[in-house]
Amino acid sequence: MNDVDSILLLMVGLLAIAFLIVWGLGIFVAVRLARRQQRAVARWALAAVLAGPVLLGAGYLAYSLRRGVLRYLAAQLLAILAVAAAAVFVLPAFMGRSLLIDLAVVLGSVAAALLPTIALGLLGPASRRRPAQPADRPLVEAVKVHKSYALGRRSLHVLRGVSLSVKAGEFVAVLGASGSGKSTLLHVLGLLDSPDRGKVIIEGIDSAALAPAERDRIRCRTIGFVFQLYHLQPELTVLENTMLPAMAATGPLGWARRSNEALARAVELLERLGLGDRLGHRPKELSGGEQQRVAIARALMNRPRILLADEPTGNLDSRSGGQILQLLKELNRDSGQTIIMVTHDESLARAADRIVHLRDGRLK
Amino acid sequence: MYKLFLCLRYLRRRYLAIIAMLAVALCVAMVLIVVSVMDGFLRKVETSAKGLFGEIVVDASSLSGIGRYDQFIATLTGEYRLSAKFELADLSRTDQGAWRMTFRAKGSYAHAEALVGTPQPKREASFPARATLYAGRHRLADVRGELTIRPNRQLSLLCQAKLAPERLPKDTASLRPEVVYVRVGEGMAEVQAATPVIYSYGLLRVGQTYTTTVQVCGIRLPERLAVTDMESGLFVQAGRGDASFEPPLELIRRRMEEHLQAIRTALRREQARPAGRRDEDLIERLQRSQMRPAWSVRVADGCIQLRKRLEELTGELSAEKTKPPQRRDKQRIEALTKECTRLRDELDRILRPPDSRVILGLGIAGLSFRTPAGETVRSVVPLQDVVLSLLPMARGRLPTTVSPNTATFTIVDDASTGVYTFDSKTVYVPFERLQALCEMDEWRDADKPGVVDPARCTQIQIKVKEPFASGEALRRVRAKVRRAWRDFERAYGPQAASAGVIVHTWREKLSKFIGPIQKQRTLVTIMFGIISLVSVLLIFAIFYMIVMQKVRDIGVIRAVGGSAAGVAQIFLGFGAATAAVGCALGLVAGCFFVRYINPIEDAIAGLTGTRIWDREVFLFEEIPNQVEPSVMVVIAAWAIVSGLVGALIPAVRAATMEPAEAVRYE
Repeated sequence: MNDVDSILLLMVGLLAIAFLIVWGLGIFVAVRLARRQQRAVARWALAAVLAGPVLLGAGYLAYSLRRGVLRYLAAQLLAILAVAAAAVFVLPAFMGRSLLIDLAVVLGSVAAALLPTIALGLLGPASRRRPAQPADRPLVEAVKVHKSYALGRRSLHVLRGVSLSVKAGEFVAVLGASGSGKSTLLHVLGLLDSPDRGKVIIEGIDSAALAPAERDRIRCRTIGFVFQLYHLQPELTVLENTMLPAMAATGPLGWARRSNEALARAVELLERLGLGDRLGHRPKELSGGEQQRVAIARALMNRPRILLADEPTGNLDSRSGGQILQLLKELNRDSGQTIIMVTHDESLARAADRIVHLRDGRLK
Repeated sequence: MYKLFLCLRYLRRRYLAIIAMLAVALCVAMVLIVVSVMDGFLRKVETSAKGLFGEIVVDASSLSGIGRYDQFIATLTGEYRLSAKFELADLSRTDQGAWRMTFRAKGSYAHAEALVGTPQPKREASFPARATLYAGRHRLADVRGELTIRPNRQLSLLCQAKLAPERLPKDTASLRPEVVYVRVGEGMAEVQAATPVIYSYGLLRVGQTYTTTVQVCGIRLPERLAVTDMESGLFVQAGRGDASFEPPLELIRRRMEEHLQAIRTALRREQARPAGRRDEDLIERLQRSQMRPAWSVRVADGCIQLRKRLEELTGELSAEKTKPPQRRDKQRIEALTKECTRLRDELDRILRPPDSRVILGLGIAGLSFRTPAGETVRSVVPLQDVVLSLLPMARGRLPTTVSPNTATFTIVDDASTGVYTFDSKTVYVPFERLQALCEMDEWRDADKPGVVDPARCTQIQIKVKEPFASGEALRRVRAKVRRAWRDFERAYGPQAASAGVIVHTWREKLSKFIGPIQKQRTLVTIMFGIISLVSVLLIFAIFYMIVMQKVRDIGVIRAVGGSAAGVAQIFLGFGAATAAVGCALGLVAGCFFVRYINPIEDAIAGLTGTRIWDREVFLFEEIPNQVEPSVMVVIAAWAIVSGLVGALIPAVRAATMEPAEAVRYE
């Protein structure tokens, strides 16, 4: 049993106690009401309180389904809506009586129904230890990957059996004309997309066998993306954009503990990328080069083993582009960062250790 | 953590959401205002309606009425109202300086049954009693004592009163106890008070020309005040706690003077308006209405003087009479006696005896009107005379054999219950008088000696103690009263009631009246609820737009490790938060509006000249302005749910987006 599991167990235990208290209070109120001969109201209260365990059960059922994303979402939504609706229907039955009792029963049942949701939300995404990986195995491996898109009635076969293997510490450039499927390959490798046929193996694990939540976790912790158009969140500041992956990696409980650490890491990264004086700025106040550096900082936030860069200089002037490329090279050289970069510019590709050509959906 | 964080950031920096927020705020405020005003209106109607006749009503379905009502009331309250003619038998002074009085009266079988449960008492029995002591027409004091009934059914009441010797009348034979209540048992623990009432119909005639049909309501005033909150609606005697058909003349005079002032103020205000906006018709009506109260004040003054003069003359007369016989001036005594009789007659002509007084319902068509500012102006005032004609329809008489009974009454007050339908039709007269006019009093069959039909009323109104006065508890009390009535009816048969009697709660009795208002409230609430669904649609549209604007950002959230459920939660949370903020704004705005609805309405009226809440039409002077906290809770819950529902489809759309496509989205 690892530490995360034990925290989970502790949390579940605490929540169970909290739930029992709320539930008991609800029943107490219901019994009091029944004694005061308000039987109809008491029945409602009891029904609302008893609905708690059912919804709790539904929540944990969803959790036990290995946190299958949409099922979990559905259960959660159902629970919230059911309780909200119950509250709306129960309340009129209480009208004219003590508001305190109304509130106690309604809040109690809402809390009971929301407990599993809150519990899972507070815990944040599940994390597991990485399986031990032999040193000689490739970090990322694509085996005969096929991918096609429906384009109107026609089907566009973009990847036609691409096989690629990247070892830890490598800087690989995928060179290809625009529309050759470079980005698609990168998305498949980064688990943003799934191949139609073939395998994508990351750290020795076949991605096809992973539950959606596991894929989210790998995207969060193992992979960092840099996009051609930076893709920063316009509502967030530079610092907040950078910290987003760290937030995605923890729930509010973990965040309370780790936020200082994350803040320090983000500030350090941004300073290293020369953005130390831009922390509070919003993306639209930055130049293209600066935005791309923020995007790189964001990609590196969770110390990913793999950095996937999609035409990182495509939208920049040559000077800024050169700086970004230099940055990537330094990252690769100094910290042994594995980088896969796709580009159509041969001069850029030359910065990499290895160049593979993607032509007609195949690697040459 | 990213969900909460992004949710809050979007809330702060997505300006599109503010429109959704305002929509929610508007809907919440609208529903809150409508529900609060309608609820308040309903509550006011209910309170007024409840004040009409207590919590439980025993209703005779036929005009033949309920007999032995005092005896039935005794089973409810434990107190029997003894209506017998007592005469002073003995008067002595105790050592403590109090007067000790013994009164005797002839008792009836009915009294015996009510007191000891059998028409033939075997031995003497005594009960605690309370009564009001009168000297002629003057009320002296409330006294406590003991009532004894002998085997021959003779009643004697022994009581003590601390009275200054000069207050005791010279003519001790005029001493008599009235409204004697005898405690015969415990009664029902839940019942606080009960009173018999007669409802009948008649013609009301004011002056030479004005005649209208009215409901005539016979009440025992002090008892009725304990059952309903009639007193708060009285014009002359409101808030005095001892309203009766004999209000002091000085009080009538003062109220009429105040009324005159109010009319003059209204008149001045109306005349001060610019010529174009002046209501000439209203000014004319106000000018005409001034005459009545002024007349009333003069009459009251005259009466007060007459009474003072009468007192002086009576003093002189008694002084003359107490002189030694040789010094008495017989001529003077004669003249004084004559003058006293004349004055007394004149007083009686102006202000009729207490059983010939009437309280009019305020709002009987044509007898009063309301100005647009909400003042009530009376065109018929206290001390005027009215004539009532009644058809005595009790005891199964046929209309062909009935001839109307007519009597003249002096108005002493007017009453408003707040329920227009009642006020506009009802006049109140003393119970025993109406009973006589309707020929519902005790009746002996001339052909069959010994057969006595008891006096009857048409309704018994019961006030229930506070903890039992509503909901299930009240229904249980009703069932108890029903059982008591069944037992009573079984015991006395047609003497109790010759036709069916209904025992119901005030709500049941008024269901036809309150029901439509309740339905109207529900209807309006549902309508506004449906209109407020617009906010759900607006949230849906706005959130769909936001989601479509943020496709690439959603792709990035997925790329940095956010789950599909997480994305959905961000937008759901955003929706709920938008609704919550909007709801908070709406609640504050709504509460503010409802709280200050009357000044706001005044301001609107002042600006535009039109009144939304027309005081000439509505029952209440003010728009209800109370907000029920539970209504706020329901509306808040509803608003947040509507935010969630509105954001649901956009959120699911965002969650099910393919991340790779989202990232590529231009």
